[in-house]
Amino acid sequence: MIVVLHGTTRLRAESICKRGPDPDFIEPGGGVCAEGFSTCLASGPFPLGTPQEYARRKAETFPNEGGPVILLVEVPEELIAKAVEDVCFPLSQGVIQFDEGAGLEELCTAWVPLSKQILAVEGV
Amino acid sequence: MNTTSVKLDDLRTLFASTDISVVEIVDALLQRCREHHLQFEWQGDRLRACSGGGARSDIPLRKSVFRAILARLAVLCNERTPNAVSPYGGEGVLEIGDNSLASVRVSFTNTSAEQKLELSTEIGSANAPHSPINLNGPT
Repeated sequence: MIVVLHGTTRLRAESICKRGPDPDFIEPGGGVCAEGFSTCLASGPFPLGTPQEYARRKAETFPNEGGPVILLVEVPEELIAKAVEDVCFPLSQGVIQFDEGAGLEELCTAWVPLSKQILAVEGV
Repeated sequence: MNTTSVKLDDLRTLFASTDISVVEIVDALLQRCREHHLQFEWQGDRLRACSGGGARSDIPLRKSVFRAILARLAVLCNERTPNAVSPYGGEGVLEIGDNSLASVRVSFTNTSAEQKLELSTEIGSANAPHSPINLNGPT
C-alpha cells in the first residue's frame, strides 16, 4: 500500500471518505466538475505545493466547510501505477493525479475498503 | 513562417512531449517565454495559446496537466517571494537562469471554474514587455 494525501475541507473530506472521489463534484459558486482527484505521496516531494497549503486555501475560500484537513488514503500499488503511467506525473515527483482513463475509475471501484483517515491541519 | 508561429509550434512540441514531467515542462516553458509574451487559457475542452505576435494555437493537453503546470508556477513564485501567490491564482515574478536581469512576470488563475496563464518579460529585463493579448480574436 502507498499512502497518498489530499488537502481539502472537512466537509469534502467526509464526503469523499464515504462515497469516494466524485469527478462530477462542483464547488459552491462554480460551474465546472472536478473531473479528477489530485493527491500526492505522503513522503513527498511536493513540487506542486503541500496538501496543507491546499487545505488551508480551500478552507479560506469556503469558510463554512469545517476548516482545513488532510484526507489520508492507503492505495494499492497497482492503482497508483494506473495514475502515474503518464510521464507527466512520474512517481519520483510525488504527484498522483487520478483522472478518467488514468486510474480514477479503478480507484472509485476499490474505494470502500481502503484505509482512510481525516487529519486536522495544525496551526490554523 | 514567422518567428511567432515557430514559437507556437515549439510550444506544441513541448506540451506533446512524451518523456518529460510537469516540472520539466515548466522549466522549458520559462526558458521559451524570454523571447515572447505568452498567454494560455483553458477554453471548453482545449488549451488555447497565444504568442506576442498575435498568433494563436490550440494545444492538445490534459486539463489536469495544465492545472499542474499552474500549480508548479505558484510554488516557484512563492519560493522566490513567500506568499506571493495563492495556489489558486495571483501574480509573481521569476528569475530565469543565471542572469538575474532575465525575469518573467507570471499571472495566473487556477480554480475549478477558470484556468489561465500569462507569462511576460519583466520591465528592466533583457527583453521588453509586450502588449496584452486577446485570446479570442481577431480571427
